Amino acid sequence: MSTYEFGKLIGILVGFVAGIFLVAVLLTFARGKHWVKEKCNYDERQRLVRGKGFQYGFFVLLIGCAILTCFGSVLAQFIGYPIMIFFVLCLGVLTYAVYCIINDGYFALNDKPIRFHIIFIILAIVNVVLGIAAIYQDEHFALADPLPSGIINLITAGVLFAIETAFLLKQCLKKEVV
Amino acid sequence: MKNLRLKSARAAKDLSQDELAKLCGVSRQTIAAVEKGDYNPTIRLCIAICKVLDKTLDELFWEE
Repeated sequence: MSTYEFGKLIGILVGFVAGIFLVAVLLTFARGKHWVKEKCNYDERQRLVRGKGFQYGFFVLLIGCAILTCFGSVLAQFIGYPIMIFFVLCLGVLTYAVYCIINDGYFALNDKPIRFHIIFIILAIVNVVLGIAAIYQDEHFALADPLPSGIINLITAGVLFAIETAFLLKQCLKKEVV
Repeated sequence: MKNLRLKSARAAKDLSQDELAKLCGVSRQTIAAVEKGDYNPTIRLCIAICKVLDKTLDELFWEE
């Protein structure tokens, strides 16, 4: 791994830790001011649905890991390993989210869905912009690099758009039934 | 199997699914699933529903 790639990896790790720290501080502050409720309140059916969702998400993760174990070395010629692993993680999370959305187990009883929709769409757009900007700025961009610039942003944006699409489809299906 | 007795008891009390759900502390979709027979509620939820609708467990949930 070159110094440039090592520095990029350290930068991502530091950014990740800083992000978690910032969210923790903001949540603590918001809870102190009673801007957010203490915990999500799911009913018994929703807890079952979420449990099933976790199960399916975990299975997808296992299958993804198995595929990476078998074909990882072949795929590594085209895509870096960290990207493949991140993609499999995102697939697991997406499976969980979509299952919960389809079975009305995603939002708690005390949640306000519109707030989440706005946050998801803003995050998706910001990630698309950052991802494309990073790809354009990186002169040595290659998908087979261990950590190509902007790809993680684009995958994250894809997951968020997929979740929003699932919400939209669910709303359309609900209207058809009524 | 659809729970028509629950549906008619709710209608007799002039409650919507959403109102009944709020009174029982669950989501509207959960009440809809119980009425459609897609979800078997726990005894705790059955009792909560019975209390709100002034019915016994037998009247709403016992299958003959």
